[in-house]
Amino acid sequence: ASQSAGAKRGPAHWGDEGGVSSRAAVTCSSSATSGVVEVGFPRRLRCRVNGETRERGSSVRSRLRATLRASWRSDSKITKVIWLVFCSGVISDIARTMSWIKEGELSLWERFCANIIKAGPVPKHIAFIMDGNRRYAKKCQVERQEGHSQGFNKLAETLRWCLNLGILEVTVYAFSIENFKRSQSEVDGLLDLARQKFSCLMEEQAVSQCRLCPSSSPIREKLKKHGVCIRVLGDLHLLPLDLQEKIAQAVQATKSYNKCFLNVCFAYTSRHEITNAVREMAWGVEQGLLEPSDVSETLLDKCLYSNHSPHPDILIRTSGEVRLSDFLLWQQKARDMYAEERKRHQLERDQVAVTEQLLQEGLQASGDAQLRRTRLHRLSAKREERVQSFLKALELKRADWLALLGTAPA
Amino acid sequence: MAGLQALVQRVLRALVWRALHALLCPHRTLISAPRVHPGTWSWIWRLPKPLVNRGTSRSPSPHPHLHPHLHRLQHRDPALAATRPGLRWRADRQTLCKLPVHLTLLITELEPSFSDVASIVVWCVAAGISYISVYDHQGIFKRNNSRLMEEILKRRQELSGLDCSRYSAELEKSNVKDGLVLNCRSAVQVLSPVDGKADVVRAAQDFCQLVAQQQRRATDLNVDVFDGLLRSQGFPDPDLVLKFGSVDSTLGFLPWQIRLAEIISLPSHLNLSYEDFFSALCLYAASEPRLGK
Repeated sequence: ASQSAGAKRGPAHWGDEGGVSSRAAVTCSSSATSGVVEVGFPRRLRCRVNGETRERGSSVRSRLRATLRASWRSDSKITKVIWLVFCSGVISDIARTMSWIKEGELSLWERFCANIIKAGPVPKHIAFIMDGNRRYAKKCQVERQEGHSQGFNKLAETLRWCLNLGILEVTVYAFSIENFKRSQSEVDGLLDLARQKFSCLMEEQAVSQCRLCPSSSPIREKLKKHGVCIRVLGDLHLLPLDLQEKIAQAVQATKSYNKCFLNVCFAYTSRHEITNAVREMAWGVEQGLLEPSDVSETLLDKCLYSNHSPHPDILIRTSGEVRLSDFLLWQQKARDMYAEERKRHQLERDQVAVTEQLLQEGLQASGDAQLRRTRLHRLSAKREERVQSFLKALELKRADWLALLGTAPA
Repeated sequence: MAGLQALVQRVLRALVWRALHALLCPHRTLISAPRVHPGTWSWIWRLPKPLVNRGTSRSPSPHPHLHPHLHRLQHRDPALAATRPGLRWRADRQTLCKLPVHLTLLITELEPSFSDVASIVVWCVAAGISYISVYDHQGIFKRNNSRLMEEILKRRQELSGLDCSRYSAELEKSNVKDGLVLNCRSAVQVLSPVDGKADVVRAAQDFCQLVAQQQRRATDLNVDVFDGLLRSQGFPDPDLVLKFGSVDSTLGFLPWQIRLAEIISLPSHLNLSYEDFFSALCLYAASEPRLGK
């Protein structure tokens, strides 16, 4: 059963309301790899720190804590201030290099609950509208960009939960075309964080927390280990070229994985997706690959950005709003009461076409039933052939465009 | 041995899951029963808050998805409530800072009630809502369109406190297909899934036909152009969708048009009280669409 949008309250995520952030920060040394520091920092840092209490038992963390305690005991006030600034930079850098999928096993209780849930029906595809980053930032009295960054961290955690529960496909609404209406600085911040996150995927030296592997492992390897295929859906041509290239590289790098799928909707609205699908079909007609009568609901489905994914079983929107906000409007799951009627209409149209054909050839329209049947069959077979060749051409066009972007010099 | 252990664990987990399910099911049956036998189970609606609105009684503001009638669970006969409707509705209307221009009643229940839907439509007209749609995914209202329209007119005449004698009581089908213009200010239409995806496909076919005849190019198409190709009967996009029933889905309702609609869920349209309806309008008035900004 699906649940209504906007019913779920939850912590902030990146998405329709949020996005990604960056802050000009001190680049720290590699000793700063874990995030939990329990000292008396001002409230804004504590807010962020609390979100990361999942990390336990890291030796690096205890080393960091010892270092901080030692420095705190130092008499000089200036040293204290310098350490505060340094540590805030360290922590923000840690937050920023967090991986796409947060490693770390669930606690015993969580594993128990997860196993019970897995005994029953589990959705195959969940869609998230991650809303409320800015409100979260306001509540914690941090900057908006920090709210977006925290939202991304929560996304990583959510992906981990989904993997653990056996939910193999997740779609997230990261950035809407409507979000371009925001202030230039906020949009730039969002796009900067996107650049950072997509670059992270490709970096060999990217460091991540991984309880299972004691040594730091590149994020790309972790994605390979989990078999995560990342797809980015949306009107990517609206984004800056360098970001498009990074996205293309990330998508190309993970396209062969098929254990689980993460669809990131970036520069996306559902209306643009539907319009683009119709435009592609019109392109097919222009190229002579399709007839106008071949256009159908099934064909439109196959021309959407999300044509490789099944329709989501559940749509979750955080922060309590009850709108769909132009997200996956076409991909609603509802019992199709009219499929039979549509087939009947199609058959009627085919009958008319066959009658016309026979009349044109000078034959009796209502003559040989066998002939009519053959012609009908031939008509639908030809249509099927046209549709398949059009879909192949479309797939090739999209793959070529991505490949071209992906191999462009960065 | 390890295999036996795994099997035992699996069986235990399945049993616990089923036990939880069994615990939840009677609760669900109790809540959903009014839909099936509205007469016998109507006393449910008078139950105190905690049973009907689990987990939401402490929230500072009423949750729009769950029962919006948190505070006033009074079972009242709509006719009784409407003895002096004109004054009451005028007063209520003034308390709302924002009204939807187009309101949709989305019935997900299997057996809709024409009289109850007609009452709600008349309340919408009284509240000053200009466009009202009624939708169900089985197409029941569409097939019995004239019956619904007669019920609406009958209801409007019953609740004559609306002072509707000024307006024509005839069925005007001139510019609204399968619809009705109740007065100079409000229009009602009935929708079904053929008006949703099927209309989008029809518009796509029309555009592709123009492209085949070389009257348009594929690159000419954008969101606004496509919006113009869809049939709207002069109705704007819905601002508010009141969804009745326990199915958490819009069931194929106008996918293109509901991109910004607020979707407020109510348990059932059967014997819906005016207060519950008004609470939903209040919830809508309190919403803030940010439109991406």
